[in-house]
Amino acid sequence: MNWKTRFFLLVVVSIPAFTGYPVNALDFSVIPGVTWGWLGYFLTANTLILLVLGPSHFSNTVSVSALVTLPVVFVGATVSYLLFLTGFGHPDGPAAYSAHYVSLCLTMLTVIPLALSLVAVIPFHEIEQRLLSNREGVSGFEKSQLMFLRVFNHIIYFVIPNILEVMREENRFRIGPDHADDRSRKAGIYKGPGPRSSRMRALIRAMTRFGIEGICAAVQYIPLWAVEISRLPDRKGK
Amino acid sequence: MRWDCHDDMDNRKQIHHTERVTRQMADYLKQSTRYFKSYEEREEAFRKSAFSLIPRKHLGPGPFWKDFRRISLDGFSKISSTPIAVVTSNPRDCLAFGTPMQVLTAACLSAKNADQRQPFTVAEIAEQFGIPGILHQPVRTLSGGETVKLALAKSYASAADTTRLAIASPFCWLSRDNISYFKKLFQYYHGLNLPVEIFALEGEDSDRPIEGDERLRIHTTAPVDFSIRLKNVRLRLGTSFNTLYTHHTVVRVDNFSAELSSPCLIVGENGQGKSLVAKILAGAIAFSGEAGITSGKRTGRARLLFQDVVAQTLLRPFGAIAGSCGAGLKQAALDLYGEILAAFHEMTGKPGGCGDAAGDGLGQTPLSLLEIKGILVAVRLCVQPCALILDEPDWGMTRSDAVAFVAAIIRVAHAHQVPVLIISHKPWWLSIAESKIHVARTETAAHGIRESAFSIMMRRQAGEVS
Repeated sequence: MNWKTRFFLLVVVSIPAFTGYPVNALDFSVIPGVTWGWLGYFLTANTLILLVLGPSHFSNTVSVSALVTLPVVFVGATVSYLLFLTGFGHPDGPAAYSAHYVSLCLTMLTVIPLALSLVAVIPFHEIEQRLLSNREGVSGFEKSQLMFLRVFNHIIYFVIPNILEVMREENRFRIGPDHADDRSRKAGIYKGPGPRSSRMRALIRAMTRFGIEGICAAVQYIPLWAVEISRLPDRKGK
Repeated sequence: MRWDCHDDMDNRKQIHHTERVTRQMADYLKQSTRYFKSYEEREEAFRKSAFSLIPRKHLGPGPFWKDFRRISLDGFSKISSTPIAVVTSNPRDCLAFGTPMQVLTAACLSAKNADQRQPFTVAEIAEQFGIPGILHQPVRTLSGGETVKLALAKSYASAADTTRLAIASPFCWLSRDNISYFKKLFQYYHGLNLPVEIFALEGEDSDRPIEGDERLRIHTTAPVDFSIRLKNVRLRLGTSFNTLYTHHTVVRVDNFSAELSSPCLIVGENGQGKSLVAKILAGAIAFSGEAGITSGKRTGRARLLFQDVVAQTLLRPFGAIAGSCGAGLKQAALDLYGEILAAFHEMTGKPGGCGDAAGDGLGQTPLSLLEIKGILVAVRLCVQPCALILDEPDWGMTRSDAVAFVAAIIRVAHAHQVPVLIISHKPWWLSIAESKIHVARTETAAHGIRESAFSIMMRRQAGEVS
């Protein structure tokens, strides 16, 4: 199956997410917050992703989706509960809005994998290879594509990995006394000593630093690249 | 006889001519090189030469965004009329395209647009610079050495479309194997009467090993013994972001086990895997297998000072970096920072203590590169690691400052029984190393079309100098 076919299938499956049809039409509840329509859509979308893109990609997608969804849902529910305790929230309490968060969880676990898969199925490297193959010059649109791809590749393949390496090298030593480790290592989620509140503060600080360094590193050489890309001769129209 | 005499005379003339040309080139190279006393001065001069197109990240987020805003508002009009070729201090940063084929095609296209007599094809230039086999490989998968050659080849190809060439600290990142390509580029630009500006730090082009007074400063402490062990180490380079199309590189590190003494020097040419080995030993990269260092009663991973220390700061102010080892160890880190800088200033004879950085916890003053390196090392030493690895510690420093800085670190680290490993392709450090490891890379067969593979071999070198 070539990439255009996969992209088409994913676009077709994504249509209900934008239009709400027919998922919202099947609004009989399984449990509060989960309708048969959305449950079926969740299963269909994720099964299609697994079949079309393979188990390796599917496992990555599920991991990222869970990583994004769970904090949003739980933090949102926590904030709502705190507002309820202060008297500013929904007067009926958690029973009134819990269904909303369950629904939100299911929706995010459906939509996020679809979005990630739509991006992943596009072979940017092949598109990249085809650019600059015309020796007569480069069109304005191709120059924009070249710039986009350069910045995209720089962020994905240099900025983020470099930051992760720095953070891994530092965070590794907050776990405790160091000792030899024979097991395979995977990218670590931040852990540290001390009470949960200080760890949460440290996590927020780490994410802030990640963001600042990431943005600055991502854009630092854009002017240099822009000058070089702009110097490419324009392709003369027929 | 007469025929033999003519041959001899022709040969002698040829040799004299070659020697004269070589001396002339060496003179032109010296004339084209400007030496600076500090990283900040060199960066500023290089930046101005490149029309200030590169915002100054080493000064912090505030000045960085001011620079970026100014560049955005100024536009590129003045650059269009006087285009220049640029090779940045990290050669990968000046490459604007995704594959070497695209980089060289773009350079040739621009050059041909400027001068229809552009004589080179992509294949010819790739052949001249030793990169014909990697033209379609993504730039992100290239080794350091391959990236260096590509950056030089790009400047070579685009000569017809430039008014001058600006290179930042080439002697810092060029190993001996690649010096010939740099000289080829320089000679070509000189032949075209195009100015070449080389921005270098004092002493960075020296090949002289550390000796005399410099050596004595290094050996004020007794060596610290340690051992390294790597077994069945495998890793995959490349991101899992796009598992469908990402080009992966599978790396195998040959088993290695050795008893060594600090300071230990890890040597090898550009792109052989020295930094990769350091990241494995420091746990900065995911891998399978066993890798560890044993020093005294401690066994585990090392701490690593990356080559690009500016990126390693994550743009944090001084206080945040000092506190990154944990609140309980911040004062210990600051004390170690004071020790390192005091030792440095004692060795260089320069006045000054800890500078403004230690007292300015608000991060108002941009840190100098020395202060950045000092606090990053202090933070790593305060946790009593099994070893401290310095990746190209002379990066961004003059020779005398680099020698004094490394000597200060060795003195402080040894006082805390922490062995020090130095990664470098420079011959400076050969005479001070108590032990040496040579790292070399060999290509191996890959298992898929989107996969390449290589092995890293480490070998303890005999003949340590003590």
